[in-house]
Amino acid sequence: MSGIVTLVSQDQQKIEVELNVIRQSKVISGMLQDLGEDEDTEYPIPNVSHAILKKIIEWCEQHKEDAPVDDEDPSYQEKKRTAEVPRWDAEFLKVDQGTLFEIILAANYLDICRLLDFACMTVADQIRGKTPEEIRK
Amino acid sequence: MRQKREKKVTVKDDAAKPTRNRSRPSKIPRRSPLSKMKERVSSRLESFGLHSLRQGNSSSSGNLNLSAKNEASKTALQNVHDMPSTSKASPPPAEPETTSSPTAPSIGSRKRAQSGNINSTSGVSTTPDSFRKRKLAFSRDSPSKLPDAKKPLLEQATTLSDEQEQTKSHIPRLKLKSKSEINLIIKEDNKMGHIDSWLNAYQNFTEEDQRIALERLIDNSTHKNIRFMRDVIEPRFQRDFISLLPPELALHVLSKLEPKDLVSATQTCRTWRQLADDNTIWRQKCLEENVKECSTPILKQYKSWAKTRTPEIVGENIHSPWKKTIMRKKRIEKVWIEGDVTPLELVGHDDHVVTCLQFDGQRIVSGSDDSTLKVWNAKTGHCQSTLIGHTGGVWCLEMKDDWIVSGSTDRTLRVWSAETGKCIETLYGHCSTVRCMALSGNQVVSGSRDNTLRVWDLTTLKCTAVLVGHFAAVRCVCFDGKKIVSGSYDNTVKIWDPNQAGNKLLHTLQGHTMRVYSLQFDGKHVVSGSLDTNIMVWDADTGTLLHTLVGHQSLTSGMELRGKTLVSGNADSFVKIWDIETGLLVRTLDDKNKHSSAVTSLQYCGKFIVTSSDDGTVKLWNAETGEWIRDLVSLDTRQTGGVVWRIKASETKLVCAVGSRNGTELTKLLVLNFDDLAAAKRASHSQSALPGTSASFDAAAINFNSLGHVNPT
Repeated sequence: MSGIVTLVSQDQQKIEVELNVIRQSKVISGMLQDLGEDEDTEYPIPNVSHAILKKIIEWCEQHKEDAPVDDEDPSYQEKKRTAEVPRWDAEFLKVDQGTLFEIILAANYLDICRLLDFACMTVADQIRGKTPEEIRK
Repeated sequence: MRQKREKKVTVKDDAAKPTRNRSRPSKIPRRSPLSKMKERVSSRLESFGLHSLRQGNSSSSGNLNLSAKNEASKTALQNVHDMPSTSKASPPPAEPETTSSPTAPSIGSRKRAQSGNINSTSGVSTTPDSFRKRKLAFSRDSPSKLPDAKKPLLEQATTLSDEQEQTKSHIPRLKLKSKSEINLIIKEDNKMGHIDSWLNAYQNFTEEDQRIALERLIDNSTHKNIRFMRDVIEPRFQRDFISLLPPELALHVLSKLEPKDLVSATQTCRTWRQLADDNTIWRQKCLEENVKECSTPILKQYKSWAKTRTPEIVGENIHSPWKKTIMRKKRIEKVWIEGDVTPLELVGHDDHVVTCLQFDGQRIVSGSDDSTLKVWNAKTGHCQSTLIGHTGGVWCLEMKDDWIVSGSTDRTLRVWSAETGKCIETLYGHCSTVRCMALSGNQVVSGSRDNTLRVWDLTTLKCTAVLVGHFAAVRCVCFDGKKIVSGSYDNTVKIWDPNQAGNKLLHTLQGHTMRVYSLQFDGKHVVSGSLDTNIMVWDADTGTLLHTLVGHQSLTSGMELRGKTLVSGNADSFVKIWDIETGLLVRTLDDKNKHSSAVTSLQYCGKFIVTSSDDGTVKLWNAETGEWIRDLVSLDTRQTGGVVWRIKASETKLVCAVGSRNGTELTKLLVLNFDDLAAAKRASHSQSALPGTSASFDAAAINFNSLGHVNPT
């Protein structure tokens, strides 16, 4: 058990990633449970492109030490409502809107709730405090 | 666009005018003698300002004809030097021309393929019409349909035509001197073809080559054009997240927004509106604001509205009752903050002191040391009834539904009907002044200067328990239906269980060194305020002291506990906010506009804290930041004896009992109504800019409300 799994992105490129890193994706960790943590198995991620998958893994690397969150937990709900995007994540999400868009879709698909939250907050920040005319731009 | 059209017209006119030119196009497809061809090519190149380029490095006579000749030849030369390889790579000028059919794009495409810089840098002298036509052709295509590779060309075409507008003055002369207006037509036809074939060539590149080509293209573009490219490319990375994301994700994004931004989002476009009006979002916002239910009138209105509407509109949540609820709340908050509210004056009780005040949103009841109570209509300000019966001053008062219970120095409690103003019963038992009272369910607890407390059942109108234990007057009492907490002049606080048989005393809380004047009880914590300046937090279950809140300098007259936050008003004129879990002072409301005299009464009111004082003012504070917002009431007589004794607030109204001890101010109640559209409008007109209030949001809030008043039934 090497703790490395291979993911195959939409464009058929393979990425190796540490198990404990990618576990933050509930979809992948679920998949690992269902399919067994076999080293030779390649896990297809058909909805996410290589570039975005790399971004996602970068994020997971950064957050692998974080305590797991339960998004059903009301205290977490309360916390995330008031929380701001941490600096590292804010920097990480300073990407063009197309990429951010893809990240949201991927985070949603892979069920990484905190990344999804941060990304959505980043978008919300872009809308915040603007008049309808400004938003249209 | 109009400009472009006009220009196109002139192109056609020019081309059509000279008759001799008309014959020429027919000759083109035919093979001409080489000399003629050369002449034509050179004239054509001339019109492009590219003569020098085509001819190699030497400047040609053709260029001399150009009015912008010097500049053009310079730039052209420069280009040649810059990119020797590409210019060399271009074929001899005559050859492509001879093979060109009206549609053959070879020369143009190659010219283009050399790199964008030829056109861009020598753009000054390039025939504008051809470019304009090209631009037109492009603009006919919607840019979004174009493959990515076309972008740079499109950009160039557009900028060039812009550049040419500046050099417009050269154009007519240039055209005349070239003596080849006919060629314009061909060129125009060819231009499109040139680009297309250039693009074809580009598209046939490998991805890597495409990248290299683009890189080269950029390297060879002017700064201006590169900036232009950026301006064209950048919006392509912009996404309309809300419209493009799946609805549940778009809602996720929107749910991060504040109500006021949501309102802006609603006004952005139809798709956004549908999403941003989603009832579940607004419900969430309501919960965030601690609004647990829709206000009933709005819900009623919504239901009747929904009935008369077709189901699909209702399904779109265009009229979310939650949204309406929160909008109303925001609007009212705004009026609290800056509304120009004229208070209703309810004059009564002559020059006596109003000792107690209750307000349930509709009815105001005031008790006075003139032995009477008055029931007022909060909306109209009319005195509905005066409750006469007590033979001594009224010192405490509770109300629930139709019941009004009052305690007096005449040692009795009286139960009144609020509706009729009739006394239902007089409760005898205490042998001294009834000083405090607490009501829960059908039970009322009274504390007296006879050192005892009595529990009364309001349905049977009988005394159900007498709590004996204090050694001095009972000054304050709290009752949550299960436990009674009493504070006394014997410096102790006692916790009682009135339902327990036998000894009903649970705990005696000893710690204060002086009289206990005020209490708060949330079922778990007991908070007591005393003349010894300290506030103590106790565990109601064990009776142990948890924290002593030190900081005030005098008697704590009023307190309010909400969650773990305690607000205390003190005779030292300060209001302090505490965290009872940590026992730490959160902040002191010590703005320069703070009260200048003892705080008489306070209320935690949504986002605000309202405080009244002996200094004759009622102040509004931001509960979160502790900032002073404004004086809601400031008596004219505040310098000469006018005081505010008591305040009671609902979400929309504030009732203040004011008067004076020396007769300068008549005893009266002031009622401020913050649910007032006119006041909201006045507020949005007055430019008292306050943090966190956006004009558009307020306007929307007002609009929204006015919509809401249109009753569909």
